[in-house]
Amino acid sequence: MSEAQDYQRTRPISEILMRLLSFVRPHRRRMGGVVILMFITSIASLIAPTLVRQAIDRGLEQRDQDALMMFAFAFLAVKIIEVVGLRFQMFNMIWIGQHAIMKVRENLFFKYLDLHMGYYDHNRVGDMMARITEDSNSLQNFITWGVINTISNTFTLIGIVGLMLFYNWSLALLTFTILPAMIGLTLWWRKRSEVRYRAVREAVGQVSATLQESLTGMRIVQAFVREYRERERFSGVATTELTASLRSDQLASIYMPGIDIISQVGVAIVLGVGGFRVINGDMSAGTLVAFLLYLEMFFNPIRDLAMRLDQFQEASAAGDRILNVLDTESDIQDVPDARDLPVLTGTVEMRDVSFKYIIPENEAKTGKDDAHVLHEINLKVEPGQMVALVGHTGAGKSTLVRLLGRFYEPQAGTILFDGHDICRATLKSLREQMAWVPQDTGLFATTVKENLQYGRPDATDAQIEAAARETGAHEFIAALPKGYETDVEEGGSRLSAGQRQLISFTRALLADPAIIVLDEATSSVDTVTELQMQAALGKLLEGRTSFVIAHRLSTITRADQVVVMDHGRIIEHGTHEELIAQGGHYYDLYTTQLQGGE
Amino acid sequence: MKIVVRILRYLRPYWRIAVLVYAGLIAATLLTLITPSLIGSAIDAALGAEGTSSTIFPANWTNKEKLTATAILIIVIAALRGLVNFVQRYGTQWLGRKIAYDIRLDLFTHLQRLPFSFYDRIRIGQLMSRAVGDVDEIRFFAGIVIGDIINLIVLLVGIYGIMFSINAELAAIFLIPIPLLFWVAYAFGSRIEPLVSKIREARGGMYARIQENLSQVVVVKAFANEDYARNKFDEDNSEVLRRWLKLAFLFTLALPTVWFIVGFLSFLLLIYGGNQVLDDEISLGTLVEFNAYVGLLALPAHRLAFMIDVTARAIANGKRIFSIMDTTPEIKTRIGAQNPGEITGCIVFDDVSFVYGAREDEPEVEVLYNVSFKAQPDTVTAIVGTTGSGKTTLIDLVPRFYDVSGGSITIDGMDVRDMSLKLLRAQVGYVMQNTFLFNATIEENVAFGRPNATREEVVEAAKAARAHDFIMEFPEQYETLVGERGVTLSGGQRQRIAIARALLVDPRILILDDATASVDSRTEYQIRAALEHLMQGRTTLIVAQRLSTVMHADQIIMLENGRIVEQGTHTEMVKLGGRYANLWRLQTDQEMPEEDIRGIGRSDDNIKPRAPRPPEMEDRTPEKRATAEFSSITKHRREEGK
Repeated sequence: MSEAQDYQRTRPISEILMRLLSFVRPHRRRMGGVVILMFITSIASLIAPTLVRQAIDRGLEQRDQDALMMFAFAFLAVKIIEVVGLRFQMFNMIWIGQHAIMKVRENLFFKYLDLHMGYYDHNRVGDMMARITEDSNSLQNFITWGVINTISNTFTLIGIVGLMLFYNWSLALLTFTILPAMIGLTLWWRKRSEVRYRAVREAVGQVSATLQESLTGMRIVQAFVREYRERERFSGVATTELTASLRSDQLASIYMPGIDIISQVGVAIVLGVGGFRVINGDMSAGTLVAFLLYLEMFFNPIRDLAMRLDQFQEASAAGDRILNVLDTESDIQDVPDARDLPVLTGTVEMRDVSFKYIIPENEAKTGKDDAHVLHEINLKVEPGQMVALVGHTGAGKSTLVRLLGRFYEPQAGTILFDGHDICRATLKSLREQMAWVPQDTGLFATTVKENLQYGRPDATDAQIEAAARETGAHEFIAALPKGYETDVEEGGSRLSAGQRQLISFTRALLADPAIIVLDEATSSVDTVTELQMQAALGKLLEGRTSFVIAHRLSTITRADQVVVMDHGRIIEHGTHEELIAQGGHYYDLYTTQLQGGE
Repeated sequence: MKIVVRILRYLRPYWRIAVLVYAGLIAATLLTLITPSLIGSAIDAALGAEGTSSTIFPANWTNKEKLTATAILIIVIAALRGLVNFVQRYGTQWLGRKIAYDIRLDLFTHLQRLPFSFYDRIRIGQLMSRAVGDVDEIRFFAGIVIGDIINLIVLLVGIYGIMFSINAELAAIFLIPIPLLFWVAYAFGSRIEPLVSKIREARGGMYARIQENLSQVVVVKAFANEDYARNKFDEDNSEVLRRWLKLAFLFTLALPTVWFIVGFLSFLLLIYGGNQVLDDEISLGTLVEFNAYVGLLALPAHRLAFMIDVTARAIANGKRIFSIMDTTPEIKTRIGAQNPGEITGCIVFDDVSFVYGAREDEPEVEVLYNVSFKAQPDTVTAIVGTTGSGKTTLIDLVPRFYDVSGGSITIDGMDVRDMSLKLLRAQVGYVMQNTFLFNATIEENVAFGRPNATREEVVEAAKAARAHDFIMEFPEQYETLVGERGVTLSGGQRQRIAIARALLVDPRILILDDATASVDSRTEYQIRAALEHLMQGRTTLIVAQRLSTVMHADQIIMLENGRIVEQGTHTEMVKLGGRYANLWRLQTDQEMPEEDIRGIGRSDDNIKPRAPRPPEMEDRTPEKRATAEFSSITKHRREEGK
C-alpha cells in the first residue's frame, strides 16, 4: 500500500485500466454472466428484508397464515437464489482473476526472456521477480474482488438507501444521520492505519532481515562468542515490531467498537422514532423490522468500498509497473530481412568493432561513464582455432565474447561468421551454432540429463552418455544416486565445483557447436580434478573455433592465438611463445605473477 | 492437545492481563446478548402488545416511555460494550503478540545454542519460516482464535439459554441446523491447509524456476533455449492455476452453504415463530428478538472454518517449533568446567576420531580416524589433503564446533571439553572458507569479536590484514556499509576483512580454513602477507589446497580419508617421496605456474554481476502470498467477527 502511494504513475489511470482490461477480454462472456449474477444476488439480498416486512405486515398483523407461509417460502427461495448465485459469482470471479493473472505472468516472463542483455544489466532480478510475484498478485486481487465488489457494494448501498426512503422517507433521512459518522470514522481509520501499517511492515522487514543475517552468520556468531549481543540486537528489532504492531492494533480496536456504537445509535433511532410512529399508526411493524435489517446491511459495503480504494491504488501502481515491462522493446531483435546462417565452419572476423554500454538516463548516477568498452577491435580467427583472451578485470574480455553471441550490438564495425554479418542473421540460427561455458557453470535445478540436453533438447540417452564419456563426466554421474536422473538442485549445489564444470562442458559438447565461448572458472579445485578438467577441455575444444577467457597458464599455452586486452583494446596478439619472446606486457604479467605466486 | 497446552503456557506471565481480557470478552458478549431482547421489547411496546420479553420496565410505564427508555438503554449498552470491546480486542491482540514475541525470542536463543551440526542439516529458509511465519500463525491462534472460541461458546450458551427460557419448542428447532453448521465448517476448515500448501508449493516452484531463468538468462539465451523455458513455465503456471481453482471450488461451496444455513434459520423462524405469533404463543417482539439472535450467530458461524484452520495450523507449527526447541544442544559447557585462563596455546590431538551424524535419523559417516599430533605455541601447522579428506572437520574440532567421537583434544594439557565454551572460543580466532560479513559498517564487521574496540584498534587490525588501503578508498571509509544494502566487496576484500576481524580478537590460537581459495594470485599474495603477520606469536592451524601456501609451515599434516598419512616439514616430506611429494610435483608442474598467472585473466568483469541470490526469506514469500491472498478471501468475513 505504501509503495502504491509513493509510486509515481507514468500513465493515466484510464490507459492502465483499458490495457489491463485486455487480459480479461477473452473471458468477457463469463464476465457478463458474473455481472448478471451479481445483480441477481444483490437484488436478492435487498429483497429479503422486504419479504420479512411483508410476512409481518400481511401475515402476522393481518392474521393471515397463507400470506405468512407464502412470504416465508418466498424468503427461502430468495435466500437460495442469493447463495447459489453467490457461489457461482465468486467461483467465476476467482476463475477469471486467476486466468487473467496467469496470462499476465506469462506475458511478463516471456517478455523478460525476449529482452536484451542490456535490460538485465540495469534491472535487478529481485525487482523483475516482484513484477511477477507481488504486482501480479495485487492485480489479481483487484480483478477478482475489486471490480465486482465495488459495483455490487455501490449497488447494494443505493438499493438500501432507496428502499428505506421508499418505505418511510422521513425515518430514513433521520437514520442516515449516522452515515457521515460511519463514513468519517472509516476514512479516518483507513488513513491512520495506512501510516501505522507502514511502520509495521518496515519493522517486520527488519525482524526478518536481522533473523536471516543472524542465522546465516550463526557460525561466525558462535565462533566469536557474540550470542549475547546478537540476541540483544534481535530482541531490539522484535520489540520495535511489537510496539509498531500494537499501535496498529489500537486503531482496529477503536474502529470496530466505534462502528458498533454508531450502528447501535441507528438502531436506537429506528426503534425510538419508528416505534412512536408504529404506536401512532403512521408506520407498520414490518417496516420497523425491515429498517432494522437494512441497518445491519449498511456497514459492510461502506467498509469494503473504503478498502477497495487502497486496493485500487495499489493495483493501478502495479499495473503501471507491469505495463512498463511489457512496453519495453528488446534492443536486439531479428532485422526485418534477417536470414538463417548456414551451417558454420567457424571463421570469425571482427572488423573495427567498437562498443559502449548504453546507460539509461535514470541510471547515470551509478557512476559508470559511457566511455567505450571496446575500441576498434580487429581479429580474425580461422575454423578450429582457439583464442585465449587475457587481461585485467575490466579490460573488456567478457564484453568481446558477448558481442559474438549478439547479446549486444557494436555501435561501429561488423562481426562476421563465415563472412556473414551476424547482425543480419536470425538470432536463433546464430546462437544454435554456439555453445557457452559460463564461469559459474549456470546449471538448472533439474536432472543431470535435462541439464546436459539443454543445448540440444532432442539428444538421445545414448548420445548424452557418449558425450559424458568423452568429457569424463560419465563416471561420477553414474555414481550419483539416480545416475542421469539425479536432481542437481538449485545452481547444481548437489555437485562439487569440478563436477559442475564437467557437466557444463558436456552440455556444450553435446550441443555440437561450431563456436565455443568459455569463461574459465577461478575457484580452485584439487589437483586431480584439475587434471581431469584440462583433459575434458581438450575434448571440448577440439575442432571448434573457441574463445576462452583464460585464467590458467595451461589453457593459455594451448591457444592458437593469445589476445592480451587492456582498457578495451587489443594490446598484444600472438602465441604464448611469441608474446614471451616479445618481452612486452604479457611477459611482464607473466613474470610478476610468477613472483607473486612464490 | 499437548502442543496447545504448551502454547498456552506462554500466557502464564501475563495471566492477570489474560484474566482481565477474557473477562472483558465475556462481558462484551453478554452485553451483546441484551440488545436483541431490548429490540424485542421495543417492538412489543410499539405494537402495544403485552410482550413476554418486556419485563424489565415498571409495569405502570406507558409504551412510549418504555420505547424511549429502550432507545436510550440501547445507546448506553452500546457505549459500554464499545469500551469493553476496545479493551478486549486490543487485549487479545496484545496477548497474541506477546506470546509470539516470547516464543520467537526463545526460539532464537535456543538456535544460538545449537551446534554446527544442526546448521549443516537444516536450510536457513526453513528456519526463517519457523521463526517468522509459523510463529505468526501461533499468534493468531493464541490471540484471536482463543478469543473467538470463548466468544462462540458464551454466545451459543447464552443464546440458547435465553431462547429456551422464552420458548423451548422454537429453541429446539433452532438447534437442528447447528451440527450441520459445525460439520460444514469443519469439513472446509480442515481442508484449507492442505490445499493452500499445495498452492504454495506449486507457486514456490514456479517462482524458483522463473528466478533461476532470469538469474542465468545468459545461459538461456546463449543456448537459444527460450522455448524450453517457456514450455516449462507454462506447465508450472497452469499447475498453479489448477490448484487455485480447486481451493476456489471448495471455498465458494462452503461459504455460501454457511450463509444459507443462517438464512435457513431465519426461514424456520418465520414459519414456526410466525405460526406461534398467530397462535398468540409468542409476541412479534419475541420473533424479532429471536431473529436478532440468529443474526448474532451468523458472525461466528462465518469464522468457524477459519478458526478450525488456524487451530490446525497452530498445532502443526507448534509441533515444528517445539521440536527445534527440544533439541538439546549437543555441545555446551560442562558442569564443573574451568576457566582455561591465560593459555600458551599448545594443542594436542590425542587419538582423535570423529563420526559425523551421531544422531539416529542420519547415516553415520566416519570422518577422522586416530588423528594424533601436537601443535606447539608460536608454530604453524598446515593440514593438506584432497577434498573430503577431513581437513575442515579436523580444525572445527578445536573450538568445539563439533565434539570428538573418540580420543581427546587438549590445549595446554586441558581437555577442551572441560573448558568453559565461551572462554575457549574467546581464545580462538577463526577465518572461515566462506567469509560471512554482516550488513553493517566495515568497522562493525572488523570489531565483531570485540565490539568495544576503539577506532584505532580497528584500523590497526585492518592495516595488519592489508585491508586498510582499500577501505580508505571507499567514500565513507570505515563507515561504509557492506552487504546487501551496501557495497559489494570482492572475495579477496572480504577475506581480508575476515582476517582483520580475527586479528582484532588477538587470539592465542588461529584457525584458517583455506582463506585464499577463491582469490586471484595478486590478492592471494596480499592475503598471505597479511596472514604471516597475523600468525606471529600464535598457534596456527591452517587448511590449504595449494601447497605453495603452506610450504613454509612448521609442520605439515597430510590427510587422506580421515587418516594422517604423512607428516613433517615441507622439505622432509618432499624428500620422503610419498603422496605429498607427488602432489607437490603435480602442482608445481601443472598448477603452480598457471595458478600464478591467474591474476592476469581474472574475470570478474562479467558484464552483469551475478544476480543476488534472494535472501532465504524468498522461500517464504510465495507461501505468505498464498496465505495473504487466501486471507483476502476470508478477511472481510473474519473482521466482522467482533
